[in-house]
Amino acid sequence: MTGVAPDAGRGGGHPLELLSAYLDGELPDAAAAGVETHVAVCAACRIDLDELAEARTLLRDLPLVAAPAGFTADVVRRRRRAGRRGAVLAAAAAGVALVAAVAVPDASVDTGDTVPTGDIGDPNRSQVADAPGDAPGAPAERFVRVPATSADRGPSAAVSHDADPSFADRAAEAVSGLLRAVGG
Amino acid sequence: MVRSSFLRRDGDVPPDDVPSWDEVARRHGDFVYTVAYRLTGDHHDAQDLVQEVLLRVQRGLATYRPGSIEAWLGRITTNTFLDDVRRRRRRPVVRLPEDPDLVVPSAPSIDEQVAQVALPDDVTGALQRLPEDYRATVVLCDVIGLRYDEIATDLDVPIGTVRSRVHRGRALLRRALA
Repeated sequence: MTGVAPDAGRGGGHPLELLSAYLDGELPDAAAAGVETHVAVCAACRIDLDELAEARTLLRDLPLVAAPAGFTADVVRRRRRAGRRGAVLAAAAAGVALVAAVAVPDASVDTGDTVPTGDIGDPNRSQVADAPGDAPGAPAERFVRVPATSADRGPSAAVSHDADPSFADRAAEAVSGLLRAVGG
Repeated sequence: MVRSSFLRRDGDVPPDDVPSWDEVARRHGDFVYTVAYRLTGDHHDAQDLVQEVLLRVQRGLATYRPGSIEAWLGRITTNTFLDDVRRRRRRPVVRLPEDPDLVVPSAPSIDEQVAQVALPDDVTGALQRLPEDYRATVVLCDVIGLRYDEIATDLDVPIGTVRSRVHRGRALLRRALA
């Protein structure tokens, strides 16, 4: 397609960047009429318009892609499991063991938007039991699991993941993010 | 069957019905997966992205106002994708040049092009050759079906930038498929 650069060697007067907006109905009437008038007499722009319409149609005709079998159900199941175990994000109070069994994905926790809300489990009960692979037949987890931290215990991260060097960086990031969030 | 984007604007969520997270995951999981796959071009990356998105959805449902749930999900997916891209950019990687004309090799002239059927995977593959900002804009426009003003709000760019990226994104895509 020849019309990507602003003038594309055609000199002025070609509404190249307006062509897509025209196809999308995003031009005010007068501008749309201007495009139609121009395209009626300019073969190069007519060709560009056709090619843009082709690309647009190809994209808009893309079918739905089904998630792999069981994937969605698996995500739902793991979220429920995290909820049952009492995924909590609470400020550490003196004398109260802070339990944070959190499923955190490979993303930074800075935004604070990765903590599932769910039942508050028994805060006195260690919830570190989620060792990787505790669910028989569970697929390889892509989530970081951070066990309970309290004032007299340093943080540690039980990490279950595929061998991926960058994951360790993100896991470390997630742990410090979590500690910041709980005021640790 | 020809569809023009996935977005249904007659309101696919009744005004007083905010779905539960489980409902969103089950009913719209494939839609989120589709957007994730078109953006990442890879099933493993798409799965990671979907999980991130569903976690954000969990939190966001508290303030979600009924409307077009798929527009909302599509925007979250795209923004999460771009956040991941920006985070990865902090590590030294080869940056794509800013001039999109340099990204895609020149196509044969129109006269020389042989008509061919572009399969969905061809299109997804071609999408991967777009710089991420262009790819995200094109996905928001044509895969999800948002208007330019909605895309501008979502990406926090002027409408002129949206218009330009949609235009160039499509042009690049067309060239990549040639």
